[in-house]
Parts: sequence; structure tokens; C-alpha cells
Amino acid sequence: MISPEQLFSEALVADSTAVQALIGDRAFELIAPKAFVNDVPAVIYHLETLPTDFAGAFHTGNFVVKCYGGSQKKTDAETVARAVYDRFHAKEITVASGSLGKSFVTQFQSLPPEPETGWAVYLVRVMCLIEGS
Amino acid sequence: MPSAGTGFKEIVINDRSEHFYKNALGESKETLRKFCELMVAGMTKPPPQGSPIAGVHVDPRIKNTKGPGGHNRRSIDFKEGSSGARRGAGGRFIKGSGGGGGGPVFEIFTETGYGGWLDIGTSRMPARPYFAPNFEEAKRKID
Repeated sequence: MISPEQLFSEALVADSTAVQALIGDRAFELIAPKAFVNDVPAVIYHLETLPTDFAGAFHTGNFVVKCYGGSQKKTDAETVARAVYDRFHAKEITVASGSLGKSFVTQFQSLPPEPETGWAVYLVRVMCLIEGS
Repeated sequence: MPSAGTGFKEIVINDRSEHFYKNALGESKETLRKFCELMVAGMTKPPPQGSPIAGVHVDPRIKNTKGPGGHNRRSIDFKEGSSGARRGAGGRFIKGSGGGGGGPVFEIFTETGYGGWLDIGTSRMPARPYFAPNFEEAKRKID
């Protein structure tokens, strides 16, 4: 079975989407590479919970996506976050490796500047109904 | 008591809706309080013996040992709150605030100033989610 993280990552950087146009392949899991200095847009995501198993048929997963705009401007981070919102809110997404099922954005929030870096960041929380194997 | 000459009985209606509303409000408040207690208990539970916390192991056999690290964990608490306050990830974070209408509101918070960042992570620090998993766990227990 393809991991939910892999499906989500594929959905983030799938070709011909507004997200992909902005971030290219810069969708990092958990943390950014050390070389990343927020001079280009990127997102960092992780799977927060995978709590519900409806008899093995479906799981719900909450993905947290932190969006960076490639600059110190909050508006640039917001642009990336809006693209992520449009990509996932009330959508049914299928990628090459499988289906992410139905997804909804449950949180869209501007955060204070990140403590270590001072970078502007937006948070988008996506709930997905992932089909089991 | 029959009213004189009309043939109708007088019906007295006691409006007890306020009484029921107060009861329902009280019950809601108690359920929310219990929910918060469960969540906070889950979030402040010491790590299992042998877990590496800030690079040093905690020995629960030693009385009053809170162990290194865990500063955020010890600062997690809840209180009955007032609606309106809501802060970002860098400070106390408040979830579960009511949508107005005078319903009960409880706040779960940390006082370290970085509790929210631990929960969602930063570009340099992986997330260590503790809010949502304990929310789900408390929801499961309260059902």
C-alpha cells in the first residue's frame, strides 16, 4: 500500500497545478533541507493523525502544511497557502500512485514569524479521507 | 378552575424553558470540563520509562522527578474561558472556543510561548504533535 504521505506529496507537486507552478518539487516532509533559505516558495508538510478506520475501508488523515513564500513578505506565503487551499479544498484527488479520496481544508491561518528564522509562514490543515488497500 | 360563564377551563402554562436551558448548559459545561481534563491528562502524561527526553532518560521510580525537558508539557492546563481570545502558534493557543451565543467556553493552553510551534513544527524543527492526537483520544473516550 502506498503511504498517505507519499500520496499527499504527489498531490502537492502534481504537474500543471497552481501549487506546482509556485513550488516546483519543493514539498518537504517534516523539515526543510539545511540549504533551504526561503528564497524560493516551498511547503513543509507532515501527517498529524490517522485516527479513524472504518473497517479498513477508509482512514481520515490530517495533514499540516506550512507554506513559505520565498521571501519575508507575508503576502507571498499567503499566495502559496491559497494555492494549496484551492488544490485540496472540497476535492477528490487521484494521482499516479492512487487516490487521496476526498479532502477538505479545515484550517487556514497566518502564523507569527517563525522563531528560529523569522520567516513569514501560513498554515493550511487538510483533512483527507484516504481509501484503504 | 372553570371560568365563570365561558365554559372554558383556565389553563396555566409555566414556562420552564429557562430551567431546562440552565440544566442543559450545566451538563454541557461538565462534559466540556471532562473533555478538557482527559485531553490535558493525555498531553501531560510523563513519557514511558526509557524514553529519551532531551537526550536524558527519565526515571519514574525517583520521586518528584520531572526530568529534563518537559517544560512545555508541565505548563499545559485548561480553564473555563471567555470567548474572543485566540492566539497564534507562537504563544498560548486556544482551541474549542465557542462560536458565541453564550455557550460554555474552555481554553486549553501552554504557557511556554512555544507550545504551538512544538505541535506544528517549524522549517528547522520537526513537529511533535500532541494536541490533535489527544483531542482525538479524548473524543473517543468521551463517546
